[in-house]
Amino acid sequence: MIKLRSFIKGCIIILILAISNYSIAEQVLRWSSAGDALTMDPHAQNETPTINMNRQIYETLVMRDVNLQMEPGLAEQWKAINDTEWEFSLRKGVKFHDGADFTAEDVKFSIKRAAAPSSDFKNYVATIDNITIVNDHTIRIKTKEPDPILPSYLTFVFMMDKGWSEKHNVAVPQNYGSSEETYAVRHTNGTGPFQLVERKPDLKTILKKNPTYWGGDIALDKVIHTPIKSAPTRIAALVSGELDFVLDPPIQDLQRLKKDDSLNVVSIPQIRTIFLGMDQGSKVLRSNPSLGKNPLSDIRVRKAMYMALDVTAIQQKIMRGLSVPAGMITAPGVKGYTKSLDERLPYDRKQAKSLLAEAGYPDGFTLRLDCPNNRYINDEDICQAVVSMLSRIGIKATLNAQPKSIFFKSVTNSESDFYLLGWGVATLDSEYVFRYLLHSRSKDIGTWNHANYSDPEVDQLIKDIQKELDMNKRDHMIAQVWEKVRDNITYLPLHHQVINWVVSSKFDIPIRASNEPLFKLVKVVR
Amino acid sequence: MNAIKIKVVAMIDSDLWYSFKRSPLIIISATLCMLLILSSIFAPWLAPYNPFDESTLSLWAANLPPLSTDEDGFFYLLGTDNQGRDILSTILYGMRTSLGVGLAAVVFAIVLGTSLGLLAAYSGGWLDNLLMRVADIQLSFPAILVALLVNGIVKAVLGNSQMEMVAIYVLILAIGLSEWVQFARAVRGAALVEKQKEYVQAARTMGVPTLMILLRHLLPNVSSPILVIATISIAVAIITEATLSFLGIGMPQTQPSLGTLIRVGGDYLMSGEWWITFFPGITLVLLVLSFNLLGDWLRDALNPQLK
Amino acid sequence: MLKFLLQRIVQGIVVMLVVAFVAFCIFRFLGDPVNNMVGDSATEEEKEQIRQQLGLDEPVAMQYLKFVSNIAQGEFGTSYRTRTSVIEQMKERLPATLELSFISGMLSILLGIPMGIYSALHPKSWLSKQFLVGSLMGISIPTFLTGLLLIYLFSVVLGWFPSQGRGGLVELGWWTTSLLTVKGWSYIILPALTLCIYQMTLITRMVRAEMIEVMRTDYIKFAKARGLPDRIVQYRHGLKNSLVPVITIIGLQLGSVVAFSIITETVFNWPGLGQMFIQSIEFVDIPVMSAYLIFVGAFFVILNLLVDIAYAFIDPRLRVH
Repeated sequence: MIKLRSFIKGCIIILILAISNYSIAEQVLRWSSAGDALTMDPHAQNETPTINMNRQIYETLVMRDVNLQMEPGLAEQWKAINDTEWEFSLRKGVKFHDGADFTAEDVKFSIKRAAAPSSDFKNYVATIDNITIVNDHTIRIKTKEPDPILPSYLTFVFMMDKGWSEKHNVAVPQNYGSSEETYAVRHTNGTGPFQLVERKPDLKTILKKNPTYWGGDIALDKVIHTPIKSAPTRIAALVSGELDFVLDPPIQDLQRLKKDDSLNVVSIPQIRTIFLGMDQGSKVLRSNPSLGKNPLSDIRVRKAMYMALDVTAIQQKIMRGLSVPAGMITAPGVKGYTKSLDERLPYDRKQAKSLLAEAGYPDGFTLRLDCPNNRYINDEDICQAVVSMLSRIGIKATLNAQPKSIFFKSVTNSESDFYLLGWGVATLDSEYVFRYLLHSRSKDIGTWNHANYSDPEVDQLIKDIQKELDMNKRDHMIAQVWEKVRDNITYLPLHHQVINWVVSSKFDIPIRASNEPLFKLVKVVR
Repeated sequence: MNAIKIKVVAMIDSDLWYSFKRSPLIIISATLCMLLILSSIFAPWLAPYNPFDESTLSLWAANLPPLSTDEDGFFYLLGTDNQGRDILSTILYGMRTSLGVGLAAVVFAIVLGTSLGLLAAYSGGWLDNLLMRVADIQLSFPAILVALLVNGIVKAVLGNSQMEMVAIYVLILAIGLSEWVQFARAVRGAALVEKQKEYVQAARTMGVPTLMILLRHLLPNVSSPILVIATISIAVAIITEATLSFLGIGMPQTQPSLGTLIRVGGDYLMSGEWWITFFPGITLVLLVLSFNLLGDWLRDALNPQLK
Repeated sequence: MLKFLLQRIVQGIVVMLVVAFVAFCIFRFLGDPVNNMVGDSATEEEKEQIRQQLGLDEPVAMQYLKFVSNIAQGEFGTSYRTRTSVIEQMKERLPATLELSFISGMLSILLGIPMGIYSALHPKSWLSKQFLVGSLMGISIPTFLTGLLLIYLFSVVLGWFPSQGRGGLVELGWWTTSLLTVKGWSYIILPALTLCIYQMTLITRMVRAEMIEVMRTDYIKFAKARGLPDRIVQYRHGLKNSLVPVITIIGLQLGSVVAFSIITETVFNWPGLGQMFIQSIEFVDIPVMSAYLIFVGAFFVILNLLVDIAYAFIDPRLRVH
C-alpha cells in the first residue's frame, strides 16, 4: 500500500515536472538538417556537416570569425620565425571538458594524430616536419618547405586531450572507410563552447553549454540536432515551431517561408562549387566494362559533356535562381578566383554532338552517375537533370542516387566513374582545391582527386605554390594551374551554391559563407 | 452459333447480370475500372508525351501548373513536375506500372496459391499439414511486412546499384509471396469438399490421371472464390506497391509507379506545387476504390461463403 | 483447457524457432557478415579473428543454436551502420512504437466496433450507409496518403498539431512516454489517427459481417419469436455470439498495427522501430533487419496466445474440453 502511494506520488511529481518544463527559462536551440554528422572523431572525416558538429565541441589553434577572417583560437598569437618555422603561443587556463589542462603536449599529440594514415586531415598537416615544445604554452612548428598558409590549415586541426585519447585507446583516428568503431566516434572531450551530452547517430545529438568556456558566457544552454531526411517534414516542423533553425531548407519553399513573421530567411553566397567529376585516368569504365575503353579520358568527350549541360536551366528551374552558374570549380572570395576564368563554355548541343562523333562515339555510350541525395542543395534533382541533358546528345547515364554515407564511401573507395561533388574552400585559397582535387592522387595529397587527373606540370606547380612566399609569383602560378584545368576540362563545373538559413525570429544566428553555424555566437532575441 | 446465343442469354439472365444492372454504383465503378485499365494498356498511345525518354525532356518546362503551355508551345493539361515531365503522361505510365505490378503479383499469387492449395488438398497428410502451418504463420504477418522483408533480402543479395534494374520483378515477387495464402486456403477448402463428391471418386476409379482430375474437375469449381479474392487482392497489391514505392524501396524514380510519383511530388506539396502529388494521389485512390467496389459487389453477388 | 493452452504455447515456440531460423539465414547468408563488419581494408588475420568471434567456423546447426540462445539472452549483435548494439537501439525505440500502436489500436477498436454493430443492426439507416461508404474509402486510401493529408490539413493549414517527431516526453526509467503531457499527446494524435483509420475500417467491416451472420441464425430468430425485447436479443445473444470471431479479428488487427506503423513512422518521422527497420533496409543493415523480424514474430505469437486465452474464457465449448 505504501509502495503504491509513493508510486502515485512519484507519478504526480513527474507530471508536475513535465508540465513545468515549459516555464524553466532554459535556452534551447533545436535545429535540423537532412543528414547527420558522420562521426564525432574530429580527424576521421573531412566533411562539412561532420566538421561543423565537431567544431561546437573541439577547437583549433587558429579560428575563423563570422566573416571567415582568421582570429586567435587556442593559440593567442603566432608568428613566422624564419622561412620554415612558426611559433605559436597557446592560450593559458584553457581546460578540456573533463577538466584536464590544455597544454603544448596536447597540441603536439593532436597534430600527430591528424597526420596518421587513417586521418582525413593528413593533407592539412602534410608539410609539417616536426613540432618542438618550447614550454607548456609555446610550440614551434617546423615545415619541410616554406608554408605560407599553415595557420589557415590549422583552422581545421582540432585539439584533443592526449591523456583522454590514450586512456580510451583512440590515439589514432577512426578508419572511416572500413567502418571502424572507436570510443571517439560517440564520445568527445574538447575545449569548445559545447559538450556532447547524447549522441544517437541519425536520430539525435544533444550538446550542452560548457559552463567554464574560456571565451566567455554563451547564450544557449542546449543545442539539439535532429536530422530529418524528408524536406517537407523538416519545413513543417519549423513552421509549426518544433524547430528553431533549418540549415538546408528546400529552395522551393523559401518564398513561402519569407512571408512567415515568426521566421527569418537569411542568405549569403557560399564558398562551395558543385561540379561533376569524371574518372579520366582508368583504362575502362567500371560501370560499363564491356565498352573496353574509357571515353572520359578523351578531352573531346569531356568537352561534349560540358557543352551539353544547360546550367542556366538548372539555375532557374532546380535552384530557383539561388545559384550562380560556374565556369571554374571554386567560388568568388577564394584567392585565385577570377571572373574571366569563371566564364563557361557556351551551351551548344550541336557542337557537343559533333565532338562526340569526332571522338568515335556518334551514338554516345552508357555509364553510371553516382550522386548523393542528402548532401547538397537539390543534389538528386540536379543529377536527374544532368542525366536528361546528357541523353539529348546520346550519352545514356543511369542515375545511382544514394544517401551521403553510402555515396562518400563508394567515391572514397574509387568505385565511381562519374559523380557529383561539391567543394568548399576552407582556407579561402585556391591551393586548397589544388591539393585535394588536382594533384595526382597519392597517399597524402590529391586524396579527393577521383577524376584521376595527373599532370606532372600541375603537380610541380602545386608543389611550388605551397612553398612560395612571394605573393605575386604565387598568384601567377595559381592562375596558371586554373588555366590548365580549364583547358583540360578536368571537371564539369555546374554552379556556386547560395546558402539559405531559416531561423526562428527568437534567435539570431550569424550566417557564414562556409555554411557552418557557430552556436556560441547565437543570440537570443526574445 | 446457337451455343453462343444460349450462353449470352444465360449470362444476361444470370443473377450476376441482374445485380449488375440494378446497381448504378457498380456500373460506374466497373466503367471506371475498365477505363483506367484500358488507359494503362494504351498509355504509350494515349499519353501526350513519353515522360521517360530523357532525351525529350526540357528542364525549362519544369514545374508548370495545370493547363500551361511552355515556351516551345507544348500543352500540359495537368502541369509538369520538377524535371519538366508532363504529369498526365507520368500518371498514365505510372498507372501502367502500378497496375502491371499489381496484376502480375496477383497472377503469381493465384498460380502459387492455387497449386499449393490443390496440392495440399489432394495429397493430404503431412504435406497438407506443413503447407497449412506455413500459411497460418504467414497469414498472421501483414502483407506489407512480408513484402518489405522479401524486398530487403533481395536487395542485400543484389546490392544497391543492381536493384534498380530488377526492381519491378522483385516487387512482383515480394507482393505475390505476401498474398498467396488466401488463395491457397480458399482453393484447399473448396477442393476438399469437391474431393469427396461422387464424380471425382468415379473419375478416380476410372483411372483418370490425378493432374487431370485436379485441373478439369476441381479447378472450375473453385474459380468463383478465386475471382472474388483476386479482385480484392489487386486492390491490396496496388496499395502495397504504392506504399513500398512511397517508402523509397519500390519502383525507382526513373521508372515510377503512382507511389513513386506521390513520394517525389510530396517534396513540393508545401511550396504550392500541389499538382505534382495531387493528381497521382487521386488516380491511385480511384483505381483502388474501383477494384474494392467491384470486389465487394462480386462477393455479395456470387456469395461464395466468404468472409 | 490447460491442455489447449499448453498446446498453443508449444505451437508458439515452434513458430518462434521458425522465425528465428529465417532471421538466422538472413544474417548468416546475406552478404559476408565478416566483410560487413570490418570493411574491405581489413587484414586476413583481423577477418579470421572476427570469424572466430562470430563462430562462423562451426557447423551451421551449432551456429543456429548459438543464434537462438543469444536471442533468448537479448543479444542481437551490432548494427552494421551505426555500430551500436541492436538491442540498445530497439530499447530506445520500443516505447515509441508500442505507445503509437496502443493508442491507435484503442482508437480503432473504440470507434470500429460500435460502427460495425450499428451498421449491422440498422442496415437501412442513413448513418450505416455513411459508415459503409467511409469504410470503403478507408481501405482504398493508402496509409501514407492519409498521413500526408492530415499533415497538410492539421499542421500546415490549421497549425493545430506538430507534424513530425515525438515530443513532450517523460522518462520513467528506461521507458519514455509521451502520454503524460499535453504536448506529448499533441505529437501522438496525428500519427495515431493515420494509423487507426485503416484498421478501424477493417474492424467495422468485419464486425458488421459477423453480426449480420449471427443475426441470421436460427436461435436468434427463435429468441425473437419467443418475444424477447430487441435490445436483449441484439446485445445478449447477437453480440455475445459474434464476439469470438471479432476477438480474433481484433487480435490480428492489433498485430497489423505494429506492422503498419512502419509507414506512419516514416511519414511522421516518429522515432520508433518501424522507422529503424526502413532505414535498415535502405542501408542493408542486416542485424537490425533480423532483429526486427524476431521482434515482430514474438509480438504476433504473444498476441495470438492472448487471443487463444480470451477464446478459452469466452467460448464455453473450450472450457468443457
